[in-house]
Amino acid sequence: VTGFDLEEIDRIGERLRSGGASEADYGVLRQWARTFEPAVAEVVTLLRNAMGVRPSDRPLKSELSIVRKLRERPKMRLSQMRDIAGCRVVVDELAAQRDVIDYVTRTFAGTKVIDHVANPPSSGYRAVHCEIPVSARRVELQVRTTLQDAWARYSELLTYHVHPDIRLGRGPDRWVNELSYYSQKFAEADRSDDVDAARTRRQVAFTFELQMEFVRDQLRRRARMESDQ
Amino acid sequence: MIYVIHFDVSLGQLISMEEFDDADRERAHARRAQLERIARERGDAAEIVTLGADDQDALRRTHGRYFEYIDAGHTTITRYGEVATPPLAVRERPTERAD
Repeated sequence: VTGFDLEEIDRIGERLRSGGASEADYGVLRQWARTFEPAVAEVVTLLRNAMGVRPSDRPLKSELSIVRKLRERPKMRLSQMRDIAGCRVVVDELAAQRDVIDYVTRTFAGTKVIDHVANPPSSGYRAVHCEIPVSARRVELQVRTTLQDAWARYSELLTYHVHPDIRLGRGPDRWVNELSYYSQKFAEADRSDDVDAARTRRQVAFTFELQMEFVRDQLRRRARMESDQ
Repeated sequence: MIYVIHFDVSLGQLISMEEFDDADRERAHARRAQLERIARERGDAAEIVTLGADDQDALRRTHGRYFEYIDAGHTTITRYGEVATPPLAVRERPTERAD
């Protein structure tokens, strides 16, 4: 169906995991991944035209992310990795998020919905992911609200600059607790249906951006101090 | 538009973003492959991705994490038709700068 020997793709996955992949392996990986491009384009085009949203697509997960995921999950086969190809939409609020999910599940039979809003992991990450079967491929769609996305960006920032396990909900208590606090606070703001809820969400998002800028500034100062030493 | 993003994971910082017209998809993929090969050879913890979006605003809306920590002195953002100078392939890593 794919035009590729999936057992060979899995063998390449094993070599990526062990650090023994060759240039030829990377070449095959790229060629295989490019076969997902039409499927991703179909999803993105439909979302753009039918829902009026502005998705971004990522036809191939980065090599670094593929290797990291294979090493984090020793039993995972590369051919079964569900987010090789993906796209993402950020919308203003939960109602719009539900609209996108409803549209996708109606349009693509067999779509699997992973609802991290109803069932967030311990890290506090919130979003709705869909695994969409398209043209014998599987495309991952991530749908986030503005506040869910802001939280995810903050989590990534801290992961890169404070502790590599923060994205998994581990690391220094101060930051893990802060992320947990904001995850709950944003969930409440997203769920609110007060008359002024939309304005409140914008204010929360704006305040949080200032908070992130403050943390970024602290991180830059620390980097400069370390660089000077 | 198509964007080739080079993000240094160890620095948590965007190193470069190059913009390609949709018609230049093959060039974008070739550039990505080139950057990945360079990163592998140098042992860099580099996340290199090709992203498609209507424009930079749409890209920043969905993939803001790449733009969270930009250092104007180290990041190259090249719009479609522009040439990055010096070529990224021969740029020094920021941490290796003499200053």
